[in-house]
Amino acid sequence: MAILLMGHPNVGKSAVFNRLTGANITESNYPGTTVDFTEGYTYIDGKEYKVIDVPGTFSTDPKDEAEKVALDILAEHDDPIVVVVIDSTKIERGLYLAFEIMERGYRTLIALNMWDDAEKHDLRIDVVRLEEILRVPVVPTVAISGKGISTLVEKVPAANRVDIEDLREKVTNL
Amino acid sequence: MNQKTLDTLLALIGVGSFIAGLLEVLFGLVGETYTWQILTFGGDFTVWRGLILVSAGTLFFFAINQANPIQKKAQAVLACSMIWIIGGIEILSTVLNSVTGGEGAWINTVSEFLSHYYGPFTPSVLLLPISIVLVILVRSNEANNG
Amino acid sequence: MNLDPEERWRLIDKVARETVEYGTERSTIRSVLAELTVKPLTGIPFALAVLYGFWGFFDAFAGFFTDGFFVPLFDDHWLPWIQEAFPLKGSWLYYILVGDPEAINSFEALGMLTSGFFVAIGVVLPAIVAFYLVITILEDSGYMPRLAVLVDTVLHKIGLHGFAIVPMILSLGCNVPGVASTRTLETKKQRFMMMILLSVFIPCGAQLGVMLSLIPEYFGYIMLYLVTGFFVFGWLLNKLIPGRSPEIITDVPPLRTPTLTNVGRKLWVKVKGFFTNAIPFVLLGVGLVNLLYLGGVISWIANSLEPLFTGWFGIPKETVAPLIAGFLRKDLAVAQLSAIDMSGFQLITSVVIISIYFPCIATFSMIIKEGRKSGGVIKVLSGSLLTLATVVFLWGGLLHLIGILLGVT
Repeated sequence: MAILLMGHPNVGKSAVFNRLTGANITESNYPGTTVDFTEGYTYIDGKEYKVIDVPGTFSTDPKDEAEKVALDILAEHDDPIVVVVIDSTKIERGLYLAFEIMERGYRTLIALNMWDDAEKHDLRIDVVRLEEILRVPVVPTVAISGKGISTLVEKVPAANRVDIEDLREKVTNL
Repeated sequence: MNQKTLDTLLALIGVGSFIAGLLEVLFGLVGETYTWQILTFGGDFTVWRGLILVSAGTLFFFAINQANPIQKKAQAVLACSMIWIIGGIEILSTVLNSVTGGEGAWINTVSEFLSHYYGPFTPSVLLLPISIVLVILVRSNEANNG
Repeated sequence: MNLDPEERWRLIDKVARETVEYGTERSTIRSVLAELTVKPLTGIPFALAVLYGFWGFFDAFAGFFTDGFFVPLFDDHWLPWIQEAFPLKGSWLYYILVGDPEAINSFEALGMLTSGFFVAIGVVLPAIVAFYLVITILEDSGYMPRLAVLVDTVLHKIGLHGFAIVPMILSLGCNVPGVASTRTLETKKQRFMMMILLSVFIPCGAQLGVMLSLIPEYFGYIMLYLVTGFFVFGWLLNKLIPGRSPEIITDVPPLRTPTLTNVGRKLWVKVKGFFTNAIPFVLLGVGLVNLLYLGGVISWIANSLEPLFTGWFGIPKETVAPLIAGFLRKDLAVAQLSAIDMSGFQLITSVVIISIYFPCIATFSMIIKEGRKSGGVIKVLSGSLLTLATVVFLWGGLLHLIGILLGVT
């Protein structure tokens, strides 16, 4: 079974990858460090998962070679679990990609990374409410320090497919 | 810490870095080394060190004129960090130079080792303590307000 | 089912309004600092301080290890020992592995076990540790992209807008990931231009390190000439190559305090990579050059290229040997050059030539690999070889001309 880490450039996918797999790939504080994918393995409840650090993408409509690589990876895998990694301080942009992925019918899980930055910016995100609306697990994380990663791991099996029709109706009526 | 104390401190370190920087540029261009008490001007790349000190000094003056307290503090911190970089490099190379010995010796003798630390020092090293005090004050001040 | 973008944004807007509460955002000292470092008025003086710090740290650190420890270790202990202990003095094997039996310093012995080891461990290793330590801290603190934004402002002025900040930064470490990262550029034109410019004009970390530790007095001139070349040919290629080069919008990440573990881990990866990838190549390079010497190949090439070398570039024909080693490792080539007897200006010229005449093998194979994705290998390859030849000929010759005009050759 495959777990794909997807998200915008420089939201910390590589850092999440390292925490999940114990690997040592380069984490940098600037966008575009990962242009090829990296694979690793992790065990959750005794089951082996292949974890893939996918290059950053802004949307599922590719603009450059690195984004094409990302979409090829998404298409290649049979029913993967997609962890959408979001920069908490730029949550709307991240949700855009998350929506696109949910619309394609993938089992989805959201990691609200850089949670510490959001706190510093005095940005409060109601995680429980967000989970209620989207019906997918949402986990606040700080990947560079490892905070929230164990909760993320616990929730991987709970990743969900979303009925977009339902979601649209629910959100419209909010 | 009130505005006045901060401004006085800024003016003090600003004038210090500005004048010291100008002198370094001057001695660097002439190519002379001048030593007064524990203060020395000259050596490799003095012109560059001088230019950085002059800009740090200018930045301190900007900070005094800055009305917005956060802008003021940030400019002061930026200028201080410029002093730290050149001062820090100076100290690092002094420490490393003091460890290795001359011909045939891997490690220096104790007296030789210590002789590296009697000075004289470049202006940035001497400005270091003031800038550290300044940054500590600025940071503790911010923590109180936050 | 799929939503259209407009509807998607509408839904997200509602979700965000329901779940996100924006507090009163106060600007902090850190966030103001982040702005000050990209504004030219405050950013350029600070960048100057950072570059000074980079140079100063490098000088102190690499000098400490190379001059303080490795030079005495290799010259006083290892070299005399191996010169005596190795059997078969006078044989070709002795020549390749140990080199000159009378040499009194490890630079001039020229054997694989003498100069090869000394250059790899004594010179390049301290240099790259110092170099990557600083680069990693600059990367993790988020200062690197800020420096790039400042440079970018200059790039804009000459018509090269906003492209390829990240590939440039990565190339300073090693050209291979630099070339790989051109994938993030949008058009084939940009990708092609960037691959050429990077592999020709941006020296890699190992080469920078060796230049800084062996010929620091010329470092500034060499870099100035290379960076100018980057801009001049960037401008030319931008005019000559058909196609678009759209603006690239990159987020400037926030300033962060680098963590010790991440810095340590990255440094370790680099050092490990150096032992497994670089050292064998350095030794191989020394061995290859010695073998070619013995076979008379080098003197043959040197004699046949002499008119080009002395006439056009104004450098001694002996520089042929380092140029051959340079296919494998540029750092080794620079080290070998510094051992050749020539004038300061000739040394500057020959180091510039070493940097631009051809990418190292590792970078070259990466260009071929990436070329497949950017308009076909043949096109990219012939395009790059043509550009390369033009650049070396013009830019190398121009430097000779400058030397003649200044009267310093």
